[in-house]
Amino acid sequence: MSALEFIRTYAATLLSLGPIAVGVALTVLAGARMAVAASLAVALGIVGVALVLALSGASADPLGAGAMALLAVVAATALCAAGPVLSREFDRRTQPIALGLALMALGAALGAAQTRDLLRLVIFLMTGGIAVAALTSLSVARERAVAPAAFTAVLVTVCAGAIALCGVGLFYAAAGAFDVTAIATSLSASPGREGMVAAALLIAALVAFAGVAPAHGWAADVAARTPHGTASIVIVVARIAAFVALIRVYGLTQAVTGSGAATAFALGCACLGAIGVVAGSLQAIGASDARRLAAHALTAQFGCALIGLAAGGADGAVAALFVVAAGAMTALALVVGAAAARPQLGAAAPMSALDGLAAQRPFVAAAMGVAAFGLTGAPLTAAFLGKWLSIEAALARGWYWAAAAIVLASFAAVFVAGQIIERMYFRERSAQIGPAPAGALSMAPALLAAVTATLVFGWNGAAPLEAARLAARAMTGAP
Amino acid sequence: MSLWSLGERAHLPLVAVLLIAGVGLAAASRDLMKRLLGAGVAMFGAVSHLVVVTGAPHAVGAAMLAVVVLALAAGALGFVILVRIREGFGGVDARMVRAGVEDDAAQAALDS
Repeated sequence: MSALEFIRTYAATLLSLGPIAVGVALTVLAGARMAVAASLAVALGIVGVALVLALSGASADPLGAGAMALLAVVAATALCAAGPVLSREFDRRTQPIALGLALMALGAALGAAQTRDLLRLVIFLMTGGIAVAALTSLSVARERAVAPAAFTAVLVTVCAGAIALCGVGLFYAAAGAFDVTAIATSLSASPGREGMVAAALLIAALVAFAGVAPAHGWAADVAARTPHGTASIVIVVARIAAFVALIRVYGLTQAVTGSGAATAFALGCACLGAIGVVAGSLQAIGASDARRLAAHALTAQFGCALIGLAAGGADGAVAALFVVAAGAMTALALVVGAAAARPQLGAAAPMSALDGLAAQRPFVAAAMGVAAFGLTGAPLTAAFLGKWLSIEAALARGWYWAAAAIVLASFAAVFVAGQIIERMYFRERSAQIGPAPAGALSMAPALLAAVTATLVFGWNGAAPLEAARLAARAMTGAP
Repeated sequence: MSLWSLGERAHLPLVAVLLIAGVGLAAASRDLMKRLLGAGVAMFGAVSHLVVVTGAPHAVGAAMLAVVVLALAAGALGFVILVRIREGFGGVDARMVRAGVEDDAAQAALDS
């Protein structure tokens, strides 16, 4: 077996268990320098494996392969910035623990994004949730408000895990299997009430895990308090992995096309999406913390994606996947930018930390500016194409209210973008916040990846659209 | 009628009660310790449901063990964080903790 063949065969295992194993090792025994080196090695490894899997086209699961490629790029660039930022946040004993927990959350997220076994999915999501809560709680010595946020993350993980396990158990009772394909086949052959209750429970749990509105409050609290060095993995990677799982489980509810249950699930998802778009956009306007803003913006993008997904058809699913990918890149730039602008003390990154950033870190400010335009869904940004497709899908279904929610959210996002740009370019940084910390160079890969993806795929989205079409076809069974 | 078959018959209503009561307690109780307890009750219901439904075959034994270990780890982590909350806020009353967090946020806004 050649190396390439080995990677293709065991890609899923390597991508999920590899980071978890390294993370456990770092948490238990490593020193700070070794931890940074190990995390960089993991970053290179996951990008390599994910790209081999995505580009070879050998995967039987284009949704999982595409999601892993996206998450691997986001996580790898975030890990490049993690070491230097964490060294200013924690002492030498805590740094490897923080990196180890981040790697565990990353491995769990990659596992959740690709697994087709629902029991494994719940295990991965619970592992990730516990790692995220533990990671957040590391900042408790610097700010007491961190502890309630971490505690809520633990509660959400256990409660959502319990609900998900009940759903998985009901699926097993209905279909005699945990595998998504086997369950879909069984449900389409003999649709029953048990399967639909199971899907409803599992979707409710995944809504909580992903921080989709109305269960998004905890995600914003954790986002505002988690360590800056690993924030991208907590805010972007973990949530998007759960959302990909949500897309997969939603596909199960559409196994019997045109049935009453399928229509009810579609309408329910569209309503959740509309709530998410409106709530996320409005809360982003009022956000007092830059990372909280990024978390709310991602909630709004999830809402937009849910509307596209629920509207149905191949185009709706393509819109959902494209919106999620564009939202990931926008959130990545905002979170990494907030880390570059953060105050010297404290666990938070208040909006006032963005004041005068353009004068001190012009390239970081430019990247955040592009991300801010991406939030609005402005033309020539990747989000524009995703929102356009979502609106088209909603209009084709006759859901004018859903299309109106997306348009209104875009107007709300203009206020958010204006606020970010006004603070960065037209205000002076206060002495109390202090100068922007050093180490912005380590953030260059993340910012460059986010800006490049936002602009290049906004100009020509053929490649990601084709990838999204492949994934959507595999999900919906369309020719 | 054996105990196992009795459990099989009665488990679904019991699981529903445990899940609703547990999640309800975790979401609405004023005492954070009770919230953690509620989450534990919900998880107990879910794990017992899975054991009854699958008949706990060897194939899912490792997964069951993993779920139980994760639930215990989450409980331990929740308890440790609860101790820090008691130290930081002087108690584990949810309203008091929320008021403390809001005070901190207002103070931070004033400072910046």
